[in-house]
Amino acid sequence: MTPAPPRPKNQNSSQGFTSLGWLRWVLPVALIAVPLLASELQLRRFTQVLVLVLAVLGVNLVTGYTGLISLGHGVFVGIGAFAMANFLDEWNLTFFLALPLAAGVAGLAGLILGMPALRVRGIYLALITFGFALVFGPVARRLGSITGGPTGRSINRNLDPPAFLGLPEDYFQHYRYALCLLVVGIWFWIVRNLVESRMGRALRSVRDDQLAAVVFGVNPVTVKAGVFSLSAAMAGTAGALQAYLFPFVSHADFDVFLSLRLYAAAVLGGLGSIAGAIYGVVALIIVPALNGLIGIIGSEEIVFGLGLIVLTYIAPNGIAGIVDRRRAEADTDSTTS
Amino acid sequence: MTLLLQRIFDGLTTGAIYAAVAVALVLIFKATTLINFAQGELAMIGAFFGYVFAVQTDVLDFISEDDTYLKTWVAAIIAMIISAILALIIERVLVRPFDPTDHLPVVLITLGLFLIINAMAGEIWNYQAQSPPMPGLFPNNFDDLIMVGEARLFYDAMGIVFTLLVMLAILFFVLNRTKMGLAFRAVSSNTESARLVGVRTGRVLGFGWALAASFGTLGAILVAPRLSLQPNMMAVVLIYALTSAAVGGLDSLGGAALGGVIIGLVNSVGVGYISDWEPFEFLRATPLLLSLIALLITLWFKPSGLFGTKAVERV
Repeated sequence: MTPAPPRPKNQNSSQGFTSLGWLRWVLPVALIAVPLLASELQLRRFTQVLVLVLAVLGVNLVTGYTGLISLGHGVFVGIGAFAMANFLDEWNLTFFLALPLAAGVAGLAGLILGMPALRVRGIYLALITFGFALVFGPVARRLGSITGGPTGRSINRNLDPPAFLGLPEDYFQHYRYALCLLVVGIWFWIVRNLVESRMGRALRSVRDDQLAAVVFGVNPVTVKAGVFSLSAAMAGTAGALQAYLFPFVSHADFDVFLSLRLYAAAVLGGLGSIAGAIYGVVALIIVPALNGLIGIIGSEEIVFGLGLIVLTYIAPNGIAGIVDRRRAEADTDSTTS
Repeated sequence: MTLLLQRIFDGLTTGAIYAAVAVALVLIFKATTLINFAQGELAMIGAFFGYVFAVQTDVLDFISEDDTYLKTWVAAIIAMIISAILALIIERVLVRPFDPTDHLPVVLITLGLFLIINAMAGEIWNYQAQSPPMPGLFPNNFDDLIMVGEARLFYDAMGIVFTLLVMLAILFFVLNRTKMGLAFRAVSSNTESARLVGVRTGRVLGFGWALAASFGTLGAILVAPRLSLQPNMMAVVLIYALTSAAVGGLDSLGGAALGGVIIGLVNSVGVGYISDWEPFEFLRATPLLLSLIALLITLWFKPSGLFGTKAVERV
């Protein structure tokens, strides 16, 4: 018996991927209101959440759109963060040069790690990427000259906004927020254009029936390697921005649980939809916070594990599937086979 | 030469442990095409059940005051039964409601179970190595050994390998000579057709989970005296077992057992010699890297593992 390639259910139309549902009204309000109302610390937390959405969107693209299960995207977040730290500190590059380079390094790593992994399918890829996630921490620990070894490294470069803008110090955090929002926005735009292009159709054809895709002239290895590398670059960008927001990187930040949380957020939020990436990150933040409210169960891991199971029960198509039920129903009609 | 022999002995012993858990993984994979990421934690909690009966309570004291081995063996068998029941419940309540062809939700469920079981064991028994330690199933003092040339061969190493072989023989007998085994093979070859000819697939899947859990529990009890019993002890074993299962081919029981031995040897012989070479010294701290490379090489040439069935697809 062979593993059937996973077929996520609620994203058959490219429309589904980019439609934000009711978030289309809430999101712009939130993105403008938060920097006006939040304290500096809250704004930094909010910016970090925004960056996390980018990494989850990367997983969402690769798992939801191409049907490849990746349990190892935390690795690319880590590679992006370490690359950023080195480009800023050792190579003395400016932020605007370091960020795309860090994303490129992560993308290249995705290509190199992905090439052998992508020959296999379904659950084997999940296993291999899980292995990468487990190995990354210990390997990063040993590569002290790049990663700062067991203690990690801080970024000593001055990362304040350029002086010619003449921003008062109170608004530094707002500048960082705007910068991150811009980068995340650019990535969302790239993804949106990608999935609605010829390439996007090729991805879906590979997910739904690889052999048929081959017959129609799609090279599945190229397509998969390309999208895996692209999503690794997204995760790498998220890591680089994380390092920019909080200038300290350590191997301990990129353990296997980061990868599992990214995967959980992508699946729980709803695969194959941009809104799903946002819901997933919100769930990631709310579920552990519930622990503080309930306070009986005690351990955060138990709450997180229970949250995973309960959410999978009540929302097998992800939160996006519940929220936008009309779309979910329309899709079930078209996917019944 | 002595060193090589010693490393081969070590590799075979750890390989047998990996093989036990890998066989458990493959049993579930064959029945449902799922990877149970909670397999290691189920085995760990099973070892704790054994610990409760062997050390923490005195319900088994009537067996014998001084023969701790007999008592440990009885405790191990009770633990295997309890974890089989636990696996039956998990399969029925948490896994069966989901569509088995859709991996994504079930991967999440087993990852959730992984976290919950691990944290619950930590709450109940705490995260330190348990003391008094888990007694071994075989004599495992530092002088319980025979010398083969200059290399030391411990009794418990031989015992572990021997137990695994016996378990494999029992497993093959159950699968190939009993009615339940026949049903299991029918379900793993084609669930729909099995249901059509009257096999109660639900029960068979539960049977597969129960068998896997007791197999894993035995592996954990065998390894507990070496790794010291604590809630995180199976995390490492699980990842090597996953690698072994994938090397051998996820749907081949014999392949999983052989894969375990291969990964065990890669780990002790391969890492042992390569890390002697200066630039690769770091392998000693991250032995998993070499196993992962072995897995990648295997899958590069044989995408379904060494003995796995090739995927056949229709348009």
